[in-house]
Amino acid sequence: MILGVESGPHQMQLSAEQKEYWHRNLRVTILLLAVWFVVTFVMGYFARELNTITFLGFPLGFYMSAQGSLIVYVAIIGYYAHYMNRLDDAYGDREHGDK
Amino acid sequence: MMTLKNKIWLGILACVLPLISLPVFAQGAVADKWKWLTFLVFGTIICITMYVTYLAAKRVKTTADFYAAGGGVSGLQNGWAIAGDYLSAASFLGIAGLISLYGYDGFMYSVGWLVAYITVLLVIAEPCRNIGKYTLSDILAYRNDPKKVRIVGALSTITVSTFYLTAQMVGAGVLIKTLIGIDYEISVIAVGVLMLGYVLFGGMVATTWVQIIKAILLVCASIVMVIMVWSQYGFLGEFLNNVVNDPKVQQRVATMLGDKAKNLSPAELGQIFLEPGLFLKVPLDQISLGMALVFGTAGMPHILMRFFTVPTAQAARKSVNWAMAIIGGFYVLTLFLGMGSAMKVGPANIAAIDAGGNMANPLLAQALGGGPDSLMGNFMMAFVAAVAFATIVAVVAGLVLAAASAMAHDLYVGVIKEGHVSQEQQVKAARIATILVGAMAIVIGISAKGQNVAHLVALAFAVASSANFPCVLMTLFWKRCNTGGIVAGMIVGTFLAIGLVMVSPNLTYPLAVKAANEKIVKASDDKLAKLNADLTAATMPPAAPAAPADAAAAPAAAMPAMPAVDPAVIEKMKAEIAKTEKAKKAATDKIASLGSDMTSIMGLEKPWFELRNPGLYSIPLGFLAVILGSLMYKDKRAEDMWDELYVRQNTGILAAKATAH
Repeated sequence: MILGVESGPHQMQLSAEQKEYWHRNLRVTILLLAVWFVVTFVMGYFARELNTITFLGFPLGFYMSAQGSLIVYVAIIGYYAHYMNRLDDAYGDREHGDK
Repeated sequence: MMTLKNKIWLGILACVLPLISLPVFAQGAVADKWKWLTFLVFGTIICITMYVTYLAAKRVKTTADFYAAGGGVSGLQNGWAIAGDYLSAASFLGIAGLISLYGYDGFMYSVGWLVAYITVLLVIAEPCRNIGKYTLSDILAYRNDPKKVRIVGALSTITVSTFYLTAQMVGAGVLIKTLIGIDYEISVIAVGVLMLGYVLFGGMVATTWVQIIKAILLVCASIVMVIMVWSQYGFLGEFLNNVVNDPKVQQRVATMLGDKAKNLSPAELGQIFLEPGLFLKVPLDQISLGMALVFGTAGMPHILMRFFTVPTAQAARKSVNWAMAIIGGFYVLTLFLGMGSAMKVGPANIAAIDAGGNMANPLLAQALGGGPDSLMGNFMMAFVAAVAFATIVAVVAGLVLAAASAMAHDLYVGVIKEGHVSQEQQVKAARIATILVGAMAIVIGISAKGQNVAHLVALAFAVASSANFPCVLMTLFWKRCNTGGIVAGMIVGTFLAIGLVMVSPNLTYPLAVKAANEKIVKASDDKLAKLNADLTAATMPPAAPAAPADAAAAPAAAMPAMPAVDPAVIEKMKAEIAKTEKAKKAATDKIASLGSDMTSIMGLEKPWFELRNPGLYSIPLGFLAVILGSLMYKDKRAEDMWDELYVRQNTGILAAKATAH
């Protein structure tokens, strides 16, 4: 079966709960993208200036692009997954069979 | 079902593939004496993946099995498979190489690729999994006219996959030739046949498992190498101190900076290795490339397909979580591999074998194991080379599967047959499409021998980011988006991206090449004249007049003042003369090979468009096309379906049912 063909033009009404879920989803996405942007582009742009600060024996600007930003990315994804799973539970939309 | 015939074929493939290459090797990074070891390791890894394919083939019965592994891949497994897809030869060999040659700027590449995955997960992956079934077009067809969007979606998927596939095949041929010296054509055929074996028999199940195995091997090999690097050069701060104080690294920076390096102390030179600016020089080009990478990855059909293999939205999140941790961890290791090979092997030696630095990891493995003459050193090098080979085959398999599914599922089943096809026929169609795409990949790969394929990668990402990405994003998040917008976006994005690359500096412009080579010839002539004069002066008796004034430029010139000239110095000068003559001949040949060509394939004397990657312009224009197309086209259904899409993309209520069919 092909999606869309058999689905037909039937309409589905959104409940207040579903809208709330969507807004919270959007909010967390935008917040995390903002963190992502700062770490990637802003810190990347100022790498030379950040190199004057030392972190774990590394110049900070160098450390951020070599390891720091990677750790932040993993944390962003981890937080997103955690937040969305909780949201799914709260709104009762969680599919079961999460392997 | 796995028939006896299939089993026999697989068996033959596993035995023959490592062997056919034996008699034809030429010159590679591995010494002839150790070739047997390399092939033993290659053969073992190929046999393991073939055995997995054999097991997987038993499970592939339905279309869902073939395209999406039946939705039965767990989050953890898919995480490793995504990591496998992601850690292509370019990132395993290329990034460590770039770091070893350029220091800080090498990371910008690894980070650039990883950045892309954040957007993939946060914006695209989850809704796509909840809506789609097997292909990119499934997502677009959800609330638009299925026939029209399937045609444009399939064409764009095939375009992107073909460009990327060709680049991978050419890369594979060159890489295997550099590694072990197998002929280019044979390398391409070996990669193609092996990949066909995986996809044809095992579909997505085998492709997934091959990715998992390869990713695990890759990570294990890296961990072992990094521990060995640490044991020699220390950990964290101490390690970095060693990098900064390494004479090979300092020499490299001095060579790259040229005149600017004269007033710097060795420690300052080493420090520059940890700062930006050695590699990336045109900021606008970098931004444009960055945009294409970030958004193109999110529009790459073979990457989107991975998300259809997991059973639930939670599993999709979990899989990206794992993938990020694995990839992130891997790149943290890459820092030590790249810097380690800069110290252990030396940037000059790495660049001597491959100017792009691709041989950094294999050479590091060899050096760590005990050098080019030891059994352990060659075993480690063979292992790294075999993992790189498996990497290429696995990535190619994923691409072929994406292109074949666009042909079979979207065009044949969706458009031509309008869905009235039985399961058996669908799987058969998928397999036929796989053979077609695979054969095409081999033919194109061989015919593109010696071509510069950099523009093909640029093209693949440019089309994915300017056509696929705006369409997917808009259909998911904009209520007014409809069939008109998707068709316009796909067509405008694809043609604009291709068109701009065709008039960009990626192509060969005979006039510029000629000018550059004429310059080399002239420089060589000057150098030869000088070297010859120096040589005559050096071989003359000490009574000869004093050395030329600028002794710094030719160190040997200072020699005549000494009573006896060191024969080694004369040898060195003669070698230098031979090298210069060779460079001159290469440049002359290059000029001759261009003949009377004055313009590029497109008939241009010089690039009309300055950026190597068109993303900066073509991505916004792709979005614009989707918006204008949607506004000009009236489609009640697309709007009616919005609420349903809206709920479903975020919760996946119906997705499990879709994959169960």
